[in-house]
Amino acid sequence: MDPSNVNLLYNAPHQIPLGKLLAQYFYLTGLSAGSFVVSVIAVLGGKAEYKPLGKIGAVVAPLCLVLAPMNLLVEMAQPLRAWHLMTYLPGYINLKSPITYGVMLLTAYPISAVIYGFFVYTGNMKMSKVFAIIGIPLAIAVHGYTGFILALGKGRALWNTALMPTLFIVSAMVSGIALMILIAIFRNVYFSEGKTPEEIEADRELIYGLGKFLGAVIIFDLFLVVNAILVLLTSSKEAWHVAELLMWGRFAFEFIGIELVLGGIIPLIMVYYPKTARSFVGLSFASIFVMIGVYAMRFSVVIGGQSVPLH
Amino acid sequence: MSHKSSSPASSSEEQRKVRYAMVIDLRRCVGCHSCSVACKSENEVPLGKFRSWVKVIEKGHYPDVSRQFLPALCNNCENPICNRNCPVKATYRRPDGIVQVNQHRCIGCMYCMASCPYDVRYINPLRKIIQKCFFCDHRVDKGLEPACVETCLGRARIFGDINNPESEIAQVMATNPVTTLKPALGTDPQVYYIAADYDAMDPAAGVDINHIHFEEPY
Amino acid sequence: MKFNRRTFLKLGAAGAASLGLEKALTGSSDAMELIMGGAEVSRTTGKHLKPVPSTCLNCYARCGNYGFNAYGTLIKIGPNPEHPNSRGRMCAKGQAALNLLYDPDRILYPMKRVGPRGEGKWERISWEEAYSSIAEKMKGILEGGNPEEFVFQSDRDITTADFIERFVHAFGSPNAFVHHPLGGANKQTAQRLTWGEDYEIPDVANTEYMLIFGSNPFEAHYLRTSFVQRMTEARSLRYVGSDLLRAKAKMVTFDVRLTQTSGRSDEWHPIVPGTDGVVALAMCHVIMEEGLEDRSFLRKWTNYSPEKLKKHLKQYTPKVAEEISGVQASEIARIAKEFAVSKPATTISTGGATKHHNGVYTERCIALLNIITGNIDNRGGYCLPKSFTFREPAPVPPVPRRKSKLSSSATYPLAGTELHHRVLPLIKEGRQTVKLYMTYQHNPVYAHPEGKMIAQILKDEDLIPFYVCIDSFMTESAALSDLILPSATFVERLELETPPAFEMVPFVSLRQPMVPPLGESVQISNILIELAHRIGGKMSSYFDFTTEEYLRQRIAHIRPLTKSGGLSFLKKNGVFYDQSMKPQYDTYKKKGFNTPSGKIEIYSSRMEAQGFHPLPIYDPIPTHQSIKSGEFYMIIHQWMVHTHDRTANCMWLSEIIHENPVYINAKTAAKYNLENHDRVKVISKVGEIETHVQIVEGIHPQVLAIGDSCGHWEFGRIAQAKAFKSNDPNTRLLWWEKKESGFFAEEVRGKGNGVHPKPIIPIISDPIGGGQCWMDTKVRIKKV
Ligand SMILES: Nc1nc2c(c(=O)[nH]1)N[C@H]1C(S)=C(S)[C@@H](COP(=O)(O)OP(=O)(O)OC[C@H]3O[C@@H](n4cnc5c(=O)[nH]c(N)nc54)[C@H](O)[C@@H]3O)O[C@H]1N2
Ligand SMILES: Nc1nc2c(c(=O)[nH]1)N[C@H]1C(S)=C(S)[C@@H](COP(=O)(O)OP(=O)(O)OC[C@H]3O[C@@H](n4cnc5c(=O)[nH]c(N)nc54)[C@H](O)[C@@H]3O)O[C@H]1N2
Ligand code: SF4
Ligand code: SF4
Ligand code: SF4
Ligand code: SF4
Ligand code: SF4
Ligand SMILES: [Mo]
Repeated sequence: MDPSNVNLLYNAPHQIPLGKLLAQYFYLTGLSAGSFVVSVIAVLGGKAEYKPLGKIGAVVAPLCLVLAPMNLLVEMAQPLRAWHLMTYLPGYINLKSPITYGVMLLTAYPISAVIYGFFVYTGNMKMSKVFAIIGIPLAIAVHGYTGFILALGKGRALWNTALMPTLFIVSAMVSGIALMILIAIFRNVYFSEGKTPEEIEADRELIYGLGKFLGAVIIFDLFLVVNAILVLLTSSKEAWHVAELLMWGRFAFEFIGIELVLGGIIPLIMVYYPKTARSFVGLSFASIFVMIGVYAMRFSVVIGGQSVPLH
Repeated sequence: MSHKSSSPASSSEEQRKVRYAMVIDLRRCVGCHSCSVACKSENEVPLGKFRSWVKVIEKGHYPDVSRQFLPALCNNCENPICNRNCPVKATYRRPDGIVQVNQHRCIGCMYCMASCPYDVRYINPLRKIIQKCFFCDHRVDKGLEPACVETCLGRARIFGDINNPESEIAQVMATNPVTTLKPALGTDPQVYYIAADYDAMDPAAGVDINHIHFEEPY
Repeated sequence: MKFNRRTFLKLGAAGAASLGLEKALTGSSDAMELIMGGAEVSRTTGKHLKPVPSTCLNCYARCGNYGFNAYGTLIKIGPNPEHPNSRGRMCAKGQAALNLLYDPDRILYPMKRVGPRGEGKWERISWEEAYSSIAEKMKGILEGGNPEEFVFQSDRDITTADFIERFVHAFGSPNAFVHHPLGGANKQTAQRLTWGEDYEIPDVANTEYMLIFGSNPFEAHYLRTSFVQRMTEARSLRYVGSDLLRAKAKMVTFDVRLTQTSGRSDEWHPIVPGTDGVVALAMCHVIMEEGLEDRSFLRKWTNYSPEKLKKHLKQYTPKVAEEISGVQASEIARIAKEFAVSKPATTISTGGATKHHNGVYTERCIALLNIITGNIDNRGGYCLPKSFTFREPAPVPPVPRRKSKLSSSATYPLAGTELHHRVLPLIKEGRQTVKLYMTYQHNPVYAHPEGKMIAQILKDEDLIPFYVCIDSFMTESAALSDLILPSATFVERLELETPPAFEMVPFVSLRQPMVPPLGESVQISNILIELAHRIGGKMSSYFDFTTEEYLRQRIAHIRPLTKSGGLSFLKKNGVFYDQSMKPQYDTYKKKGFNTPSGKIEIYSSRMEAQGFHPLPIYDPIPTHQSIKSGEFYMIIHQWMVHTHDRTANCMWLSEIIHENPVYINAKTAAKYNLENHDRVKVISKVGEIETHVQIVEGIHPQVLAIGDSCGHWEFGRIAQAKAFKSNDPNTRLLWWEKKESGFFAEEVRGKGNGVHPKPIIPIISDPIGGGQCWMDTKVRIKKV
């Protein structure tokens, strides 16, 4: 018998301030950052056959980033006051807030990404490299900052960990690569007119290679998730409650079922199992699973993280 | 307790910083919700939102059972994480310690809400701005006690300037064991409890975490 | 007068909460402290607002309040710090009176039924039409020569009882049912038979020991705010007398369930319902066996000798009491001794003890504890109520010679009061033909037991050919009336009160309009004055005054008040008491008790004459003796934020409590395979209701408890938990209506406003007091 058996008779309702749209915002910035990084690797990697990827990424990255803040505007209670964020005056802006860095990054990163894209498309390799080098830290930061938004949410055990920004960046990479694979496959299948069979074959190899890369990043991502959970299970009481929610509670389906199994383990097998690893159908499914998985991750972190009552 | 002979306020005393705080003495609380309703009325708090509420639990096993209360409100923290995280400095600490929100500056991003470890902020669904208990600053500025303190049936709530050693609150705090909610978080809450129950202070106690109802922001 | 914290504390010296206050009390500091109460600033202009002092009536505690207006709107109802009883505090209900004043569903115009009774079709009419049609009806009754065919029922009203009675008597009818007692008829009857008063005032602020039987003052005492604040004072380290700090008073509670009171007591003793009497008697037995009684008091001030009493108590040993009540004999003996040696000490007993079939006996047994320990009208003891009496201005209409056939005096001659819940059933029985039935602030369909049957009586146009309802809201009863007269709420009325004084100095408290009556609503006295003049003849001569003149005459005999300015003093200050008067203790020493013998009647010849036992005895509850397995005792309780049927339309209150699950003990629930929130049927011999279960540890395993005040099916949309659009945007936000399921939604729990428990409570009365046995329902429970 539990000696301190407690029955709650009355309490104020528990609220969740940050909703599904915020999870979506995090997801889109992640996609953007991930595809930008892939694009840059392609451009900087120097190999000629990677070039097409560079171009795709250069378009997808700024595009996602235009969509992302739309979610925020809808979620905000006072969207018309969003300009308050952009006054950049010391008296009005709080430099300690991660949202402030976010706003700055959200201004700087798309600008640099557009310029980068311009040079990639005009074939100016030198300038592309310059802006790639400028863009990489910005891209990582743009997504990393969203991790900080959560990490600085002091009262929420799931968020308030040093792992959170890294976890966000790595899962952003995962989703970014998966998106790139999908687009590359699409391009290969539908836009291959005027290309030599060798070019098409090289393109295929490139996509299979990207699959392997995806696998590697998934492994890293899973490693981080396991870290996070292990620590949650042994940290504070609240942390234990969140772990409970994620592992066998209300969010187990999203977390274990979709994020880990459907979006992690299954695609991981698929990108290394020869039959699926070297098939567009297989890779397409793996990528779609990954993208769904990362979305579930954003959802269970944002909503799940808030579902333990604070009072 | 020594009875200091009263001396005219010296200049250093005049410059002494006011720090408002509240003590809630749970030996005296009867769980009547008068504070909650006084606050609603005083501050036009819309339905569904609370600046102040009283959690009620029952603990133990029949027949060794008791009821415990925990009146809750914004702690007007000395080190408020909500302020730290507000991007536009809409929420700020007044010199007397009251954590305020500039209602014209707030963009409604709700990050302060998400950051507060006590879940005491809310979006006013009618005015679409962030609100919470401001220690009834509009009353305090005019020399009145907050509404919930005035009406408290058990006189469990004591409010005042803790930097003034002559104040009731300073003396109560000096002579009673007090505690705050989640002290480990370092927010340094300025709502102090006397004889608060451990289980009532635990947000998860008595709650089926997998079936808890939660509300979307507005 | 500027009222700051320190003066406030000095007045109520016992308010010294903690050691730290010693300093504040001695006034050694000149530090600025915030003003404790009675003031309000405008949120828009920051200016101080001028208070309108008045008196709350959202329950019968009648606390002092202040209304604050801004731009013609009442924006806040706050406490009046100068009120000697409530001393600057107000409960949730009192402050939420703002909601009932501005309830969008309030009735603001006279309305006439169109279509069949109860169909809900109404037509707005003018006051002229309303008055003339009622006056016509009443004149018709007079012409028929049977004025008793006019029957008037109002709620357990202290405030307007005299005025309504004056009206009905002036008309010539004896059928004014206006005196409906606090805490039920049984308590009042027992009190009157024992020591000649209607109730006791436990002087809790100054006591050392509180022994509570079936009372829940932290949530629901009839003097709640004034009472409970003094209880908490006694429970804290406190300043007593000059500069002595005392330890807190002990609080021991007998209740069938864990309440806020019993849950915060030093000891909670669950007890089998209806058996408090035997426990109290066993305690008396122990006290006398141990020789701890106050023999000289017993000899001098009671009508029964200690020796005989001791002999009478012999049968009630702790062992016997244990078998009946389930409370351990050793505990009974220990508490008895503690109670006897703690000086002063007092008992507290209300509905849980008296709303039973043996209510009168039980209350007498509990009173006996105070009597044998000599804790009578002493500081910290069981005190006589102190208040003023108001006078009826001359000429006073004579009491009609024809006796009422509906009155309790025929059936329950000892009942100290009229038995409301019997009136309509007696009409159904054909005791009295009725031509006009009128109610004021009374909702028999909702408030009476077997409400379904009551509703049928009201629907029956043969039994009740014309029903005029004077109320502020479309109550369940108003919905069955023919004509509704919009009554001003207590926030808009001018009335006088003199509740029993906790400082033991009687006082007068004024209720005055905080805002002019909304719409075309009119206060009851003005309605009746107008009607009297329209009926004319002798009747108008008894109402030759305005409400204000009437009130002035009512207090004309209170010399110190008239000297201070009378009504105008009250209008300015809200409350009056003689500042120089010392607390009135031991008043019986001068004038004796208000009983035939002038003494406390432990032995009641009046009871004996009616065939009841003259001594305090334990009388087992008949229905409880045959309880079978699978059956439960169902008890009803008040919610801390509601008053019976009158507050469900206050949104700030209903937001806190809007559902009433049935509370059940965890072990019992396990036995019946019940889980939290399971829907169940609770079935009694007269009906069944459906609600969800709330599993708790703090309740007797054989008891089911369900709260009052919920489950309205009329009374406005807020009471019915329906969100709607109105001028007040809050009504759109009424969230407890929501029931849909989904990821973010709560589990489905049925209607958002709970259930109405009264339809399953059968009409049963205590044979002596006649009071309804609210707590004696035998039920079964079935999962749905
Ligand atoms: N908040 C609020 N306050 C009110 C009112 C209100 O409606 N709401 N109404 C006012 C009025 S008119 C009245 S009469 C009073 C009523 O005030 P109370 O009498 O104090 O309140 P009740 O809830 O009727 O009953 C008190 C307790 O008796 C317990 N009880 C039931 N049966 C037994 C029994 O056999 N033995 C024992 N020991 N306990 C038992 C119940 O569990 C309950 O907790 O309150 C007044 N004050
Ligand atoms: N189940 C159960 N039922 C009980 C009891 C119990 O213990 N259990 N207790 C019984 C007892 S002790 C009592 S005293 C009765 C009381 O029950 P009632 O006598 O019905 O008393 P009230 O709830 O006060 O409501 C009377 C009506 O007054 C009307 N009203 C008119 N003017 C005003 C105004 O200015 N303000 C407000 N707020 N309302 C106004 C309201 O519309 C309301 O319908 O209930 C009894 N009913
Ligand atoms: S309690 Fe929360 S909202 Fe209030 S000051 Fe502290 S952190 Fe901020
Ligand atoms: S909601 Fe308003 S107060 Fe809160 S963090 Fe955002 S801008 Fe600041
Ligand atoms: S101090 Fe004022 S705002 Fe804060 S809880 Fe009390 S009444 Fe509400
Ligand atoms: S008003 Fe006072 S006694 Fe009542 S619940 Fe609030 S803190 Fe407790
Ligand atoms: S106890 Fe509450 S409702 Fe009753 S009179 Fe006092 S303030 Fe009003
Ligand atoms: Mo009552």
